[in-house]
Amino acid sequence: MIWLAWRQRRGTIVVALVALATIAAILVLTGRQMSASFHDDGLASCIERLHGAAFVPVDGGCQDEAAAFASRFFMMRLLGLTLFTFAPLALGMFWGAPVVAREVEHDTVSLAWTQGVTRRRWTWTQLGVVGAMTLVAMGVFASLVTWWYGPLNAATGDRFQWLIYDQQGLAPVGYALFVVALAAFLGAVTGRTLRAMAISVIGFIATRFVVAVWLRPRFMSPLERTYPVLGDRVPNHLLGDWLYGGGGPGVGVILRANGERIAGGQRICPPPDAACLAEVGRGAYNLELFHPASRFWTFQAIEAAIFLVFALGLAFATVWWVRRQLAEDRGGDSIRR
Amino acid sequence: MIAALEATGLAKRYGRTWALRDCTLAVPEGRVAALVGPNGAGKTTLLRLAVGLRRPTQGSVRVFGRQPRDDLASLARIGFVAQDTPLYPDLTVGEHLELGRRLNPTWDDGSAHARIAKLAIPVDRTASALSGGQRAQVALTLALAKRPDLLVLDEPVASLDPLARRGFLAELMGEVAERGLTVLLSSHLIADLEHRCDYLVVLSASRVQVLGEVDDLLATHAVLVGPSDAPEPIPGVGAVVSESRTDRQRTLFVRTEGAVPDPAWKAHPAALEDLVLAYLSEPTAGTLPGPEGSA
Repeated sequence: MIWLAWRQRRGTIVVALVALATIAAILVLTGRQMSASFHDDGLASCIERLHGAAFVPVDGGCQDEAAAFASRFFMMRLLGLTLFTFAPLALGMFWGAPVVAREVEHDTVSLAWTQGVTRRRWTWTQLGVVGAMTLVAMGVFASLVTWWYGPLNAATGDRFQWLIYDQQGLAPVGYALFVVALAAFLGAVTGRTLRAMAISVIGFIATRFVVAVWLRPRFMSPLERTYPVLGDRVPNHLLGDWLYGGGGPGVGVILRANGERIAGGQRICPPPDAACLAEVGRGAYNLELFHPASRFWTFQAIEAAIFLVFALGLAFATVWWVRRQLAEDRGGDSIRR
Repeated sequence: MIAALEATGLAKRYGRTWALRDCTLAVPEGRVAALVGPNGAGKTTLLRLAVGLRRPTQGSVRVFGRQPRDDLASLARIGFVAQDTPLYPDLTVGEHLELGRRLNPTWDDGSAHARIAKLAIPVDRTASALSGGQRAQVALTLALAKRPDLLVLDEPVASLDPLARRGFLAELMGEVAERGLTVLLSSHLIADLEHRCDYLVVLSASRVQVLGEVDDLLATHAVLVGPSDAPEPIPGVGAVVSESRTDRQRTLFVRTEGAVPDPAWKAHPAALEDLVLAYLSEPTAGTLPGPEGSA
């Protein structure tokens, strides 16, 4: 049975290898270019001099070097955002949707399911082979992208940012397994590859949105940090902390010494600034809720695990549907001439 | 004796539509049974229920005494060729044989390759590049190489040209004669079935209309031609299945009860095609074997 599942995907595997090799070549070339620039233009040594400090002087946090690097490779980030975001979706549509649906459309199920193999085994094997292909392809791809993002992460400090976080580390592998299973399930339910593709796009985006916006900030309770308004030190943005709350998403709050809220946002008045002092009063401070950069891999693992659980649930649902419900379907019984 | 295929009160509903209802039949072992009926009569549904691809809404279907659905022991005894003989378009003929070898414990690899070689079908050609006749032959080879005891074929020759159709049926009947397996074969080409089938099932509007041994059915039916003003009932006639009349004469297709003694009526023996068409044109008529032993 495993032999058949592999053999059915011979063409797909060749296409995937060619696509992966092409993407890898592009990533390695541009990634090396970014890496070289990161080191040669002084950003790397500047960041090194900060020694990973939590707070840095207002204008001493390598801002200029980082901004120069980020703007130089702005197009790269854009390319990454548009291209890599859809990679898991493409796998779901082209690998997941046909698993059951195309066999129903061609009625090859009536060949497969009258051999000496149960539907349970048939479905698990098909899903297992497609799942293994997804795991390997997406694992290689996500590793490359993670490496590729290294200098950009360091120069922007937004590794935890929505959509950028979603392209590196472990999460993309979880997304890919999820959408492949989702599309396979929808293919079994609808019996139509195209329909399964279309609905899986909607389901994938909706699920991702809910997890990213609502669930992800709640993976762990955030830490809190305060620092004076009248000072000359700010949090080291390049560390990659995820500032997400207090005065709204991604915004801190400014408070008087007695805890009274002045405004949302962040304010730093390097002394002596008499006007600022008169406005906010002595002892005013910034308050921020944040997830430290060190939680990145924990968050990635949690998110990947969530989508892996979704994927397994959908795989069980697919097997159940094939065994129980597909026997209720009209399928090949309709007159087709 | 356990029937090769036995359906009891079998019914299948898709949504609100009954594709098959109240189907009770038994195909004895060793018979070549023809399943005929108009499009949409439920033939495909019955066959798919028989090979376990569908689950009955009501009643049961048994193959050699077992429910076939997802049952490996049953699947090993059933060879199935679905409508339009589906094969994997990207797989070669040789890979289809490999598929059969790997998935079936009772696979006869030697005979499968021998058949393909005898039919001069290129082993390394993909299924999508085969002609309709070759596809049907490969599908039949796959079904036969499982060494099934029951072979179920759904309109296997419908898409073939007459020459390929004759070749396919000749191959099939040769195998049947050699192995003595039971066959259930659906078709709406009745001429193809004459002299090849010894058991008949007529399905019409989701119900079994006629069921029985072909020889018995032909022996108990006749075409009667007589004057249009002949008195009724006609002695020796059990039931009039269908009739047509002109000004001067009537032609009846009847079920007989012994000979028709009235010399005004001229009796002609029934042909299989006459019988099927007569019943299909009168959906309310029917002849089923009564309780145990009358068939």
